[in-house]
Amino acid sequence: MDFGALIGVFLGVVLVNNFVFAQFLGICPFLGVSRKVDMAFGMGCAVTFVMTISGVVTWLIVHGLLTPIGAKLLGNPGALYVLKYVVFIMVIAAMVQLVEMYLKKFFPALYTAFGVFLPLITTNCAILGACLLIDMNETYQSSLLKSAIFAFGGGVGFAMAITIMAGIREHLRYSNVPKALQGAGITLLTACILALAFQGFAGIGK
Amino acid sequence: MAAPTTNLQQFKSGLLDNNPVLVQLLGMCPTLAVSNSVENALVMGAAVIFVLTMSNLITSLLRNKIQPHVRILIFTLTIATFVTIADLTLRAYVFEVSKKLGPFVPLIIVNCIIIARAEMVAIKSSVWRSLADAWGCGIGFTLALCILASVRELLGSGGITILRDAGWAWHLDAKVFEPHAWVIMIMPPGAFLTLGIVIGIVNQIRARGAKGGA
Amino acid sequence: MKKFINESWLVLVLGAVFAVLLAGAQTSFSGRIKENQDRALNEAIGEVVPGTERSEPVPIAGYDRDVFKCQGGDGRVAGWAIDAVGLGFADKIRLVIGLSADGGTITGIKVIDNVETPGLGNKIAGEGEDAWPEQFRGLKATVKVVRVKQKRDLARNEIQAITGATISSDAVTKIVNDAIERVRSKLPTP
Repeated sequence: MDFGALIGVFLGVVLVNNFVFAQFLGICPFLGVSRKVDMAFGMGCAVTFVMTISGVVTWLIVHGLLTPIGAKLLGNPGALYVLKYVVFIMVIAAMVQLVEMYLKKFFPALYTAFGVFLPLITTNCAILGACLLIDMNETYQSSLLKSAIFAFGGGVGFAMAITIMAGIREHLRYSNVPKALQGAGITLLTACILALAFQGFAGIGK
Repeated sequence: MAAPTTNLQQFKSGLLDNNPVLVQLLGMCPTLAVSNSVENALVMGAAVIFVLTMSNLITSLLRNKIQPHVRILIFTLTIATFVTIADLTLRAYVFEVSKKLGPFVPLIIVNCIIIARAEMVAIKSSVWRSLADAWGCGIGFTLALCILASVRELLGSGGITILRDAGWAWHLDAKVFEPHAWVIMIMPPGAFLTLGIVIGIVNQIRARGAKGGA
Repeated sequence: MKKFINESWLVLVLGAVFAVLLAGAQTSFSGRIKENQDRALNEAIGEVVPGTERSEPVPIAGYDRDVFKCQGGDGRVAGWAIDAVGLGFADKIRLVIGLSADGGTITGIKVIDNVETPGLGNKIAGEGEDAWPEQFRGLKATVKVVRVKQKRDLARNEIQAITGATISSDAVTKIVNDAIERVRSKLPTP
């Protein structure tokens, strides 16, 4: 197994193609839950957790169920791909429920830490986005391990982005922001500068 | 602001006063991602209008039959189905644009605008009211996207190009100041910058309006 | 049981209706979508291997992507087209490389997918006679292509980097060299 390629996948999605700053996924929680660092970090952890699981499960469903069933019953491996989106969103919703129940039962400490964010995550576009990006990219279609690392890295990148933002916003509270820009406006403008900084990571794989 | 009472008011509310993007701040991800060209914005807007119309229509038709605790499941099923249909249609007829939109067409499934309209309006309103609402919000979304996209494409690509490569009879290819374009505007930082400023301007206008009205 | 039916009949009925809708959409559009997906590749093949009338994939041992045998109208082999990908500045670059029938000359390259920086790196996908990829046309495939910067007189098999986008230029050069190295010696004799 080419270890370097796996690190490349991870760094690529955390820094170069960061979900928030380069791919615009998960902007709603990025704007909504980035007021306090501890909240932001909890949200980031919950997203990373669910994203990794959903990425792996949807990969298994596409390659372990849809493709063979389509090939066997309908003679065309791609015949059931039309059901992909319906299946993906259902899997994510179910995963969130399962993770919530599991944490509540076996890891109550973890549940109190980021359980409150779990229901919000079903409609977090970063999760579905990760599953879709894995599904669209031929490198990940052929490797479950790379897909899992991509999904995990996507979550880590999101957690990093939202935590950095929360750190900045905690300080912004004490500054004199024009009234019209308070809230979303100044957050987006700050995100612009952060995105500029993240542009500098492009080409890091070379 | 009074609650809308006629279908026309419902339509206008989504279009301006309660614009889903600029006022309610919903659906930020596609707004930032696909506003790098007017063409992308228009196609994305059309897809959202289609899905929103179908989802509001079906929810409204079935509003007396839907059991409260399965409603989210029904909304999601409906939305995912029509998003798939929209995605297939785009890939069949405007393949190049659909390639550029990438995951953002399937991501309409988790776009908060659509489920919010089903939950807040369609589940308790008549069919016509729900359709007026869908079109108001859908066109409001497209309008917001086009405002952002025209600023970003004009500054970032130096002009606006629509349907140049589609092979259709009509296309627009207006280059105003191409060699001096600010490329950064069509890249991610430009998206955050433009949306931040536009939201600031909208807030300012609304604050003025509120003061004037009082 | 009655309670279950009472609560879920609507979901089941809707599910069935939606399944029919999806099946209909799939059957009516899949032909066009397949055509669209193949078009970019076929157009690129026609461009990098002049005189191509039809092309068919041929298996090459040790190369996991497609290599196409391109035939002219008279049935003779016009050349070979290699589908290749590699990492660029931002993300992956996918391109088609054309080789002459004897495999000795690069007849052209064409980038079909890239997300390089607009205005700089995306010149690798430029079109027209003065476009950057035109430098590859006519180079020798038997030795490596060398990328140079701002050099006046190019020696054999040298190409000029795009100013401000050396990494993108390097990426393309590397993809071309790697693909040719892996495929060229294994091409079947026409």
